[in-house]
Amino acid sequence: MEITSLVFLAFVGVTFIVYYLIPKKYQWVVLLSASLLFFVTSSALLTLYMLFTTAVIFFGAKGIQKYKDEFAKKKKELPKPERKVLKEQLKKKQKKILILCVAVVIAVLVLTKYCNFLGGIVNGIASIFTSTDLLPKFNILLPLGISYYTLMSVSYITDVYRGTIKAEVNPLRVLLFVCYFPHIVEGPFDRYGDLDRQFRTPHKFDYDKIRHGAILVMYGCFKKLVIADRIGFFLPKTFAKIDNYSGTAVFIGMVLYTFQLYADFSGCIDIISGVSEMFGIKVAENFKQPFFSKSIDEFWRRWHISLGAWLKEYVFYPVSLSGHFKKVNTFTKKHIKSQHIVGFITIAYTLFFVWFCNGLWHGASWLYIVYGLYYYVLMMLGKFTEPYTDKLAKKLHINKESKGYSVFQVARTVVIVNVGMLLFRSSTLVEFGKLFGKMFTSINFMDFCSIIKFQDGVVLAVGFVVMLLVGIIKEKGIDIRMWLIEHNFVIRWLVYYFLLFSTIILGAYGVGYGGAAAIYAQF
Amino acid sequence: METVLEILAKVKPNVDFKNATAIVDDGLLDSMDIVMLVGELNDEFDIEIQVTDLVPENFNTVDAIVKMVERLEDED
Repeated sequence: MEITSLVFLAFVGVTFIVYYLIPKKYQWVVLLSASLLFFVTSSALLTLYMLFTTAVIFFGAKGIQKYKDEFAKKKKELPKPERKVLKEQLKKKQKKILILCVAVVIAVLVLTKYCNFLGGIVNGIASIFTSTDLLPKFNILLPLGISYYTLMSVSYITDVYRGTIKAEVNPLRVLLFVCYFPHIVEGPFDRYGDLDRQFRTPHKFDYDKIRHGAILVMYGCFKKLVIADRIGFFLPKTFAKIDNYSGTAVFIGMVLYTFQLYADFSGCIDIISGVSEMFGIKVAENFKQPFFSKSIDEFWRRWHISLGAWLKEYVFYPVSLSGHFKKVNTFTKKHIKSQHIVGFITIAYTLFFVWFCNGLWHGASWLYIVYGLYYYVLMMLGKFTEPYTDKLAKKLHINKESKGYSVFQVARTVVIVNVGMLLFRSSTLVEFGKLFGKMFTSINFMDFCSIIKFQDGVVLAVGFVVMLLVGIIKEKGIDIRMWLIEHNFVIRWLVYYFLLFSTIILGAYGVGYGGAAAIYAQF
Repeated sequence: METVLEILAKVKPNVDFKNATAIVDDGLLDSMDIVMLVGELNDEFDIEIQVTDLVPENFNTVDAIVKMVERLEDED
């Protein structure tokens, strides 16, 4: 069920009516039933994978909570030294459960999503000794949103282990968190504590809040159907027959693909967030005008925010506080005098894991790993050269706080991200190299017209201006939807009609009046 | 307080941490700086800062950092 289809619209409509008609204490049951229906219609028997993961983290978290409660009960009666011993003993037991459960749910993800990738590595190594493949290729179907719900499940049990939340006693509430239909397709990665609190709150029918959500849904549909899907209709042909085109075409294709991916992903997230807001549930923020970023670090704090936050909480911080990290830190401190180099090495060590996981999460291929490491290398380069570029800027009397310098920084980030997107779009590293090289060697401005038809160009230009204006307003800290709701009737309805009719008339539709599949749903 | 200020100056020089009221929220320290700071604090005060301690409230002011360190020293 595509989230831009009429079926999805009807599904949300029915759920919405039942949700607000039923007694408020059962509202979460409506969301659970709708989510399960959504999951089963998309994944059929594969739903069992999701149920298995939920069962593992539910029982695992309960086990961890049991030891926590035991300690809380006994600690008052014990003197400090014994209390410490007991704490350590019980912590070890909790850690064992955590590691086991995380290993099991990650193993399910690896076996389904990454088995052919791992098999390829084994066959590659084996090819040194034999000409036949050791491991066959498997055709494994993936359940809906496995990459998303697996990581959210890991976050739930880890949060229980860390003591930031208590283990849930009702398995159905954990199940709702795992398969909540707005965030299961392509995120965002929510935290159990944030969502469960909202699931437990009774939500009365609030017209303003519902309008607030509905505007976001309309804007998301505009971005997805008018911009992303329109580009999606002609761009794949360009990349498929790239030999027929010049480097100028590659450049335009790269920029358009970046635009498409942003409109697609952020559009879908807007739809999802808007739908969820209509139920009174706010999901995690995933985009914050990423193309206004002055650096790559900042870009990743504004693009797919919830993935970055997940990696920070569950990869970056644990690695940073691990024994390994301490060893690296102590070793570098002992042997290197420069505080800058010490800091650089230790951070480079930790961030490697983060960016490796970031790349690997996107897909089971070396290309995605390289994609993650592309940002890692650039970020590390920036970190390493920071003091030297600061000195150079001082010598050249460049004011780093000036508007001009900010524009340069934003432009630099946009270029880096676009090249990253070309890598992301390429099928192989060789293809990326070919495409990248072509941009500098074969220039033909006439190719612009051969890629984009005039009418597509006009629609995309309008879409770009709309997105830019909305971005600028949001960047100023204005809640544009609230501003619209509070504004006079004429302006408000003009905007509603613009979004609605531009999506209906200018949207690029496929068979059955449905939009194309969400790009990020495949990850 | 003085030791914490010295460590902060070592992790990120040329920043007025003493008068800052929102070190993390204002972006004076990012997550990479926090990790460096945690390493230094752990070594200096022989404490073990946990992942759950890595929240902005514990790092937004020098006072908050000192309080966190004292709490962790006390726990041991």
